[in-house]
Amino acid sequence: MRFLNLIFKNILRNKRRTLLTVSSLAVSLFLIITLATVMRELRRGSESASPLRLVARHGVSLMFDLPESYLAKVEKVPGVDLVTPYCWYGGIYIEEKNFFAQFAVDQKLLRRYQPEMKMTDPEWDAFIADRQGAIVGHKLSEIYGFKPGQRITLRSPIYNNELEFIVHGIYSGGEEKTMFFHYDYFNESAPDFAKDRVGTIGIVAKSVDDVPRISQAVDAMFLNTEAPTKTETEREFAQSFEAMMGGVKQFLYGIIGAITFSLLLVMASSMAMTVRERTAEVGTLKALGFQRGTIAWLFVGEALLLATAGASLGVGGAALIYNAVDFSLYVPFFSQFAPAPEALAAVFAGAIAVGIASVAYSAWRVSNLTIAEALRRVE
Amino acid sequence: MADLVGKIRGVTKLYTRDGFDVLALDNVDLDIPAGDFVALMGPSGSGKSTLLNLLAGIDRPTSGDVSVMGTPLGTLSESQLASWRNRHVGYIFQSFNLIPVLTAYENVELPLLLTNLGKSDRKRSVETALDLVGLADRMDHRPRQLSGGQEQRVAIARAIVVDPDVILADEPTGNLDARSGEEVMSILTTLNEKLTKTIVMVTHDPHAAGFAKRQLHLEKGVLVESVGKG
Repeated sequence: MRFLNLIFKNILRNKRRTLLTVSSLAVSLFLIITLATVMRELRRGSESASPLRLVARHGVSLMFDLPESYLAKVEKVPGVDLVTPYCWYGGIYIEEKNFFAQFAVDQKLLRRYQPEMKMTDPEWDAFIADRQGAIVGHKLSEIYGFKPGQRITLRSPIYNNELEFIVHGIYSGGEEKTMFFHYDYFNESAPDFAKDRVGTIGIVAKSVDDVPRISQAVDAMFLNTEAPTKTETEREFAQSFEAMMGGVKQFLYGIIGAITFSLLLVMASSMAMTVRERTAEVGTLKALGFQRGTIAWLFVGEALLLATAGASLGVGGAALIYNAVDFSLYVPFFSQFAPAPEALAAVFAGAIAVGIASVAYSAWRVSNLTIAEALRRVE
Repeated sequence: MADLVGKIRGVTKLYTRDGFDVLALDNVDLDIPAGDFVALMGPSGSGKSTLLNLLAGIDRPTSGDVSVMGTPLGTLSESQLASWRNRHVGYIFQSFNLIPVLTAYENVELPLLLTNLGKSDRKRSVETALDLVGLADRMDHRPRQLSGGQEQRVAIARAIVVDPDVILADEPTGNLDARSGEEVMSILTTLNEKLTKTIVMVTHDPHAAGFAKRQLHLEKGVLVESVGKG
């Protein structure tokens, strides 16, 4: 603490360099937090999956659908609590840019299927009672201004039709950028190729222990049919989507690594210049009785303060901005965009480690110079 | 206080520079009694600064012994030597070597930061030292805001603030004009005469050397002449 004043004054010795170093650190850390948050959101589907839910899809590809008649058969499998059709509509709202997730489901079972969705009882009742009824997530209503009672028309390029819906509720929890409506209404107006078909079947098991048995039983039941199934847990289903972005994740990891490395170079270069410029002063300090370790710590202390300042701005700024502004409203398919507290802590700690690493060699080297050598370097 | 502040016996210092051996000091013996004011003189490369550095524990002899205040410096580790230097030696550089971002007060306080003194004790010592060199009114000035003579006076205050047993000065007037040099020498004389500080000073300047009680002449690493005052 006695040397804090000296460390502060040394940091402010070259204000422009300090400002540039701290700024580059802050901007880089902000970028790392942003990328880490993107990666977190890419994993959110699997991380928030319910252990009781399963998804049955066509065994060949998700591109193919399943007969609706499967629902009744799956329902009879021991351990199954409920089943619901789950059909992707792919509708466009007014303009093509207005694209969001819409699913046709069993309106009566949706509340039990996804208990994380919260809505008032009158809203649920109104939704179930009206064939054209739909419910939208809170974020979707924020983005498009959907309100209860509002009529929405969606045009689907997949089914080549238009459907009109009436919003009866705004739910919160779960995927808040999704719209749900009645499967029966969807099925009635579906073209022949899609009539009485479902995209996937959502299954809820009575207990977690039943999950593996249900998966095997459902797939065995339809093994040699024209539409074999692949039944997996909701987590595995979400992970199969995430696996498709495997390359993207590696790419993001690569960028984070590159930013960290360049950060280390920027800091190391800045600190090396600082140490070099002050080699003569090291000789003076040693002549006054300063120990090697104390001198090394003076430089490490500077790097630590710089790193802390940069990390506070970058990490703190990212936490502040991403928590104050919900960027998921502007980023398609992300239901949230909030940095994980552990990621913030890890990046902060990483910045401090980079700070120490950036100066370690220069500090060690200069502190080991003899007084005569250090003084000579100046002149 | 010991009778002898500095005791040098059979000291030889050999450097290797660019592949060549350079004999900086050749079997030098020297006693520096307490309260002495010694001027080390001689041409460039005669070994004056080397001798000063050996007394400060900044450098180590190739052979021979250097004792200061009864402590054989050869027995101390680097770390012990640094602590010892902080307590017993005040060093004055030719080019002042003040830390440019610190005020005069903070520069003088630097050696005290290594001691156990509390803030108020440090303040008292710094103010006394600056007062002694006539710069009590320049405490908040940075080196850039001071003249060369004032900078050297701050450096003297820094050297004496820990109340060292010996003050070692390497060309203290070398970078100063005549008037400032005179002021600096007058302060050193006061420190020697009034506060009985032992001073060893390296200088080229015969006028500055005239302030010392003794003048020692070195040539090619050998003490060749000793001249006493009066």
